[in-house]
Amino acid sequence: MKGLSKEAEYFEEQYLEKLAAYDKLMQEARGFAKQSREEILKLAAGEQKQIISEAQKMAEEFLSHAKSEISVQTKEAKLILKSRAQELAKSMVTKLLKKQAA
Amino acid sequence: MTKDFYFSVFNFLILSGILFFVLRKTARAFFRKRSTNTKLEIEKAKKFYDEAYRKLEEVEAKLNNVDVEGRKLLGELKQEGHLEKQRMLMQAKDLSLKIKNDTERTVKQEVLKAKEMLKKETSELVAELATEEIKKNITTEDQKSLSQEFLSEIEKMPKVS
Repeated sequence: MKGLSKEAEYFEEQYLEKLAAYDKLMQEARGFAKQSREEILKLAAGEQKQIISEAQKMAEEFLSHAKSEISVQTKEAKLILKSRAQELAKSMVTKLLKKQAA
Repeated sequence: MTKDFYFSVFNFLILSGILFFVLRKTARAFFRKRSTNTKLEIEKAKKFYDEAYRKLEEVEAKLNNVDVEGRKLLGELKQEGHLEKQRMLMQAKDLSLKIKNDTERTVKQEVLKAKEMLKKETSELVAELATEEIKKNITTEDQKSLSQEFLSEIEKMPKVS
């Protein structure tokens, strides 16, 4: 019976040693896996930032271009309308006076 | 001496017989209990041995499998990371689309604003030029005729008592 107990104690010691080794290895594996996940997320954050930054840059350029285009076209339209305004005013007055005379 | 010896043997046998008779039940119970206790102790020791052996086998199996388990964990966390990455990129694309749509809406509003401004400015200019044109072209007779017409219109209006 003593032999049985002694052997059981030896098994118990071996079990505790191997369990500690197993826990250590698993902890290392977990740390490595977490690090890999963090690296993926870090890259993703960089890509995300780049996509948004590009979209903002494009939007700013588009808006700026559109505003200058609107400004140019407004100036051109103003010139055309100014030259036609005289004709329009004359035609209106003529029609008005004709109506009055009739 | 032989007589004494026989006498002693006889006494011993009688005493043993009495003792056996008196203690037989107690002794039987004692030895039965001892036997049971020994059996229990052996069972307990065997159970402890089996348990220790089972635990050792389990941990050895786990240790042999630690590479596979580590790779599985790595795969799971990488997969989780990739899914999160996809979600983040999707979010970024949605935001980019929103920025684009907002910008287009702003440009449309700017165009409408410019058109409204042109209309207003042109109407004011035409009205101003027309006024000047009228001032240039209207004659004294036209003025008289307009005044006459104005007065006759007033006269036509119903009087207030």
